[in-house]
Amino acid sequence: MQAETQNPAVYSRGLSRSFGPVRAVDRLDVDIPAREIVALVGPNGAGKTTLLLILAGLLAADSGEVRVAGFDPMTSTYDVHRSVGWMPDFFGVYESLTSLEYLEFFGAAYRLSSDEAGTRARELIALVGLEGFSERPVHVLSRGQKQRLGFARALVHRPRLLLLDEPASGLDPRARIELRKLVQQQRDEGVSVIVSSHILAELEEMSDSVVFMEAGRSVGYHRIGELPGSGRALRWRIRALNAEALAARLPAAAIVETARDGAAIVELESEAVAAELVAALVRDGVSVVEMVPLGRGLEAAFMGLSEVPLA
Amino acid sequence: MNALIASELKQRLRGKRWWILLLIWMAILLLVTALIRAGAKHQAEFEQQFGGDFVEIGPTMFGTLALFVLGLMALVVPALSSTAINSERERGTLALLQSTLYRPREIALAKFTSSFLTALVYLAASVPLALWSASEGGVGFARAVIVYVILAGSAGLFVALGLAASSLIRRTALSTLAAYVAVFTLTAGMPILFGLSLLGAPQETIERTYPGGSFTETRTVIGWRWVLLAPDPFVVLADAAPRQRSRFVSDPLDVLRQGVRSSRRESDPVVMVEKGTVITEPGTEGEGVPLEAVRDPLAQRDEPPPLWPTGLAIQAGLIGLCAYEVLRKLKVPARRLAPGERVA
Repeated sequence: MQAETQNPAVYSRGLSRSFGPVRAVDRLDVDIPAREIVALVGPNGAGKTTLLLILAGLLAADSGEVRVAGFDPMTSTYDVHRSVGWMPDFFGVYESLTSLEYLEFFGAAYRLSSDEAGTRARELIALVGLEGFSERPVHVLSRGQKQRLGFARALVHRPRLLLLDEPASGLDPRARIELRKLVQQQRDEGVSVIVSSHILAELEEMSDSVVFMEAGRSVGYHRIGELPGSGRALRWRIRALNAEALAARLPAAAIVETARDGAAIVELESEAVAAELVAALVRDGVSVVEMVPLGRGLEAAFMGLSEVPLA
Repeated sequence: MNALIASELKQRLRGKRWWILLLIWMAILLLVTALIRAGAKHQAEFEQQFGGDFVEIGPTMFGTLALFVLGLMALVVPALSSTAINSERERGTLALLQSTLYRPREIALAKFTSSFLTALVYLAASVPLALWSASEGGVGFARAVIVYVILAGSAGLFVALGLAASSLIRRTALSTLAAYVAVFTLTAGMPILFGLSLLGAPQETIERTYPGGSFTETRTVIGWRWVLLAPDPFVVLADAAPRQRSRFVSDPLDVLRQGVRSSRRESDPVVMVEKGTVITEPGTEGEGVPLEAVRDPLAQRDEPPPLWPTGLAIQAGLIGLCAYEVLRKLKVPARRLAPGERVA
């Protein structure tokens, strides 16, 4: 990657925000590089949504320092709103507007002239593939189509930073793949993207790096290729027609637990080891009917994260 | 900004219910005006048999219509804005608006303007009936214009109260209830409070003399308490409408005006008529006012000072307070959230 001279997409030091007694974001330090897709991963309640609200200039931090595209959301709210496209996990639409009117409405909200807003709205409708729905009321859209419309809305003003809060939740696999393509296309055009989710596999495929959050704090930043989980032993689920024959021939040290249906959960060092094991089982006459990986990369790293006691 | 208002209005007007409500509104007003006209006409004809001229059809119709429209607006207008902000919060559209380049004051102003314009449509629907009243004669142009300006101002006040309720209260049912309680307090609660405050007001005894005798009279000193009446939209409406004539006729606005102004009289108008002279005030015995003037209580002496400037000032203060609260609740980045409140 070429040397970046521009601002990081997000920079924070000691950023905190509480709701009553709950510290949603707790002395958070993050450096999120620009022009990348950064996954924000953590369990529910880790503070992902709160962090994104602060970055979108909607929620004030209690303390700490934060810069979004180089601006302080507290003092330069207008500049932050101009630089950031925010797509919340839950958002409403105006029922009586058509998809095109909806985007034009937000174009006007970003000070586009009505001509510019109209052009931009049609452009975005085409980008997210909703051409057939531009003149139809928003409420006829499916969940996946609504998500795409929401994504288009976040892009109306050509933001430099996209904040996507759980964009893939509730989408079918096909819609997720489409969303992933759209997000990657924005990254390729130079937009920084922060995307939160607990649908880990989905983020692993689209992201360049990942920030793990737990209890309001950042507990790790990793390039996707260098995840701690990628060198780890992986778990597999193996099931055979005869459970006893299977158990007898599996290396005892590898068995983590036995499932109720007789399937064994085993931990193996690598895919090569897994391939050898299945070949050996078949050679020995065990009728293997199922062998599936239980967690890979990001997910394994996430599970590992949860096991680590927090300082 | 204009796009925001246009979209708000479009959403309102696309609803079928809105048009049905407007039709019902017009039907009620038409019915009331027709009934008042029939009643006033009957009464006027009856009076004329005896040479009376108290009942005038035009002013009776117009005054009743104006008070009735204000009453109906107090029932309809708060609902136009009482869920404007919290319903958008509930639907998850408010935070999206707040994340754009719209400033809180633009959002607030758009909400206010769209509700207010809708209220003005209701008000405008009464104009044909006002013209009908005026065609009966006796309703001056200036009077009609001022009455409508005050009615529009009252609509603005109701909208502002509803908007404040919708920004301060999370649940839409509760904010609507609160808006109605606020409007009801202003229109009915304050006069009741005024009445109650008189129970605690000091009493004074005055000795009045007249040629050939004297008597004492005990009366209540109202003092500052008239201020409690002043912000009432009905009081402002009746009090601010300019009088058309020196003669007292059956105009409900004039009757109400005379009633509320008496709250600012330094002393009660005790009028004693005796053999062509009248004693009005302590110390003026013997001179009096000609009997003809006494027949018309409004002409007998100067009117007390008006309540409406104070009333309008209090109303303007209320609107300012509402605006402050709405802006405070719309401001981003948000510092404090109520328990259970979400930004998005």
